[in-house]
Amino acid sequence: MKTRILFFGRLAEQIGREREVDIPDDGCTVADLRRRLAHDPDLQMLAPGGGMLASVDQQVVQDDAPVNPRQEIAFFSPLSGG
Amino acid sequence: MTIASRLTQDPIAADAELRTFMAGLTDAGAVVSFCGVARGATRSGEKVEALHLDHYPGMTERSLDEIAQAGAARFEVSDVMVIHRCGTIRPGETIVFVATASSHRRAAFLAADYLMDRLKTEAVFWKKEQGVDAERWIEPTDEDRSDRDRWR
Repeated sequence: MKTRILFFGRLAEQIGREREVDIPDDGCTVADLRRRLAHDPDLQMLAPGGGMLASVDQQVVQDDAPVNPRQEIAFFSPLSGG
Repeated sequence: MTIASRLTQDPIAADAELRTFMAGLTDAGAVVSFCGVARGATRSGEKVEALHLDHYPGMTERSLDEIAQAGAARFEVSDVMVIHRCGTIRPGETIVFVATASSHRRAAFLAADYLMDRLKTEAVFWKKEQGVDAERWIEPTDEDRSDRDRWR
């Protein structure tokens, strides 16, 4: 199932505001999703350990968190604060 | 007792906001307000033409609200208001406005200080400084982080 993934901050400036990606209907982990995205040479910075943060349904999560294609998923560079 | 926060793309009129905040108070003995203002130069003296604050709709508003609620829970304050800009901000404009009210001044001062330290590090924003011929993304400084850690 195609899911829209959102990007923010410096990352959005580099790769745009969103992309569509296939996520298995029964879900995967954030780490799996990162590896899937990082196949695209433009998105290599999203690979695990690349310093970009992930959120699922607007909560920051670690790489072992589960995601499914019906959730709101975002990646972003470290927060600047206000 | 009102604990509130707001995200806005429009300029913040701090004097009007303070008047509105004070008009809603009952029985407060102390009001503290703070404005964070966009500087026209970096720490190293280079001219800044604008700040651009990217935000995550929904998540950013919630981060402001959580910080406002945490300040209200931690200190003996009756009212808290947090207003934060997003989008493009010019030097001299207010980026953030915080107001707190309490029966006695200490709690209002402390709550405002706490709110600002947390906003500077934990509010969900990505901030870019636009200079004359270069742009630079900004992250919290070590000083910002140690300011926040005073409250742990």
